[in-house]
Amino acid sequence: MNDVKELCDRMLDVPAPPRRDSAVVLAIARRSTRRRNQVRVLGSGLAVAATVAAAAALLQSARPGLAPAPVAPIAADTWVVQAPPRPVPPAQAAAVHSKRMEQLLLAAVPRGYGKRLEHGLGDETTVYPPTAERPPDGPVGLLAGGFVIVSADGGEGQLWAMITNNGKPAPTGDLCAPGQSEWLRPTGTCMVIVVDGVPIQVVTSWDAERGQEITATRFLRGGALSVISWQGIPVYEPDTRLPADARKKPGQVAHKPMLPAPMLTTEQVAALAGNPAMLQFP
Amino acid sequence: MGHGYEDEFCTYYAARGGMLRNTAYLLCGDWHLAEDLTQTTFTKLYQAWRRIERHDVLDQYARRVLLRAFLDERRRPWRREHATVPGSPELDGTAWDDSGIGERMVVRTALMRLPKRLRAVLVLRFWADLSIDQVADILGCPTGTVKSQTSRGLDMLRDVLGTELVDLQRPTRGGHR
Repeated sequence: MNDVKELCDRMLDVPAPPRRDSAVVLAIARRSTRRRNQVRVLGSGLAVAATVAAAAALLQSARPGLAPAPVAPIAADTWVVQAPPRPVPPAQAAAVHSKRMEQLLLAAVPRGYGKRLEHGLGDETTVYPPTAERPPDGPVGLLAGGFVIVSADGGEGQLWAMITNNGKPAPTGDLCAPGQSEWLRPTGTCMVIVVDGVPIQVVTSWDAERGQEITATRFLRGGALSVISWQGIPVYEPDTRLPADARKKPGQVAHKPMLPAPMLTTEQVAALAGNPAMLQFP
Repeated sequence: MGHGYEDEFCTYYAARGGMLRNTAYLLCGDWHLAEDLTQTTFTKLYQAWRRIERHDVLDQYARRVLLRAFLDERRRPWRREHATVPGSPELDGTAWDDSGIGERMVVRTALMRLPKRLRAVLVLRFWADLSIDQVADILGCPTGTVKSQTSRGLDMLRDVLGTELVDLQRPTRGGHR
């Protein structure tokens, strides 16, 4: 060895860890590009807003008799101009509404993916009245929901939605503020996307089993509608705490790897959560 | 995939991603960071892909992006915050072979002790086998600077290695104009 090249080769003479698959690299590049474009939209939107505000201030100073008009605060992560607020629908649905939600979820799966339904919630048509507020650590009522297993290239992910009831009023103000939502995972990135005038909280996070996890939440009166996209499905671990005389043992479910790339973008998941047809009483 | 340019992008990654990651590893001495730098490079390549007219000079362009990412990354106080996914089985599962590990550690330590620009010059010239002009283009500096930094880098490397690797005490060859 008498040159730097050999020295470098020697440094590389180790079993290097496997490289990322090209589909993963592409998916990350796509996602990063989307975020960059969103920031540009936000930046240009803020620039337009600043210009309009400056023009309004000039007009106002020229007409001293008029009081200034109230200006709605703009959340930092909101990248679509907000429309006037609408009445918040109630968190109410019969279990049979799940079938409608399932159809909407199936229709949202992009072409080229396999899809199948799981966990039907039944045909119950009773719509229960809103419940009182549940304790912070208490269970959340599941009213209706749909679960779709999505497959491609030997991998599986899950797209699901549910209407839940916690008895709490819909939050106002910044939907990304700390403690604003039970769905706000501590490691997630929160943003607000406005769909047809409805603010949707979108939290994106990464989990070793779920891959990219996108949770879009539309807050309702007394609960929420959440649409969740998982790139992978967590490993099923059967409950082994069975009675000694139990005959039917829990079966092992074959676990498949996650999808090569997330099936939907954050905007697509938010659009599903903002779709009024996902609610029984929009 | 859906788009022709994305197919091209994936093909290029499959062909050259390994080379770029090795370059990144020689620069930073950390496989996790090397993976991140490679991803950063390919993300920027993806964003520029449709604007790149001459794909025959992609390697040079990619190296330049990697170098910039490396130099920028080292400046950030929060670097590694967005490193690869914690607990990634891909990266955490590989153990080093014990044979020759002491010698490799000496080499790695010696390289990492060099200032990053000198290290970059040596890696690009002698490992990537680039000409002085190409290195100057990537680093955005005159060729004279590359020559002087090469000389300084080699001197420092010899000083750092001392008697650990006596072969490097000899006159060094490699690289071309």
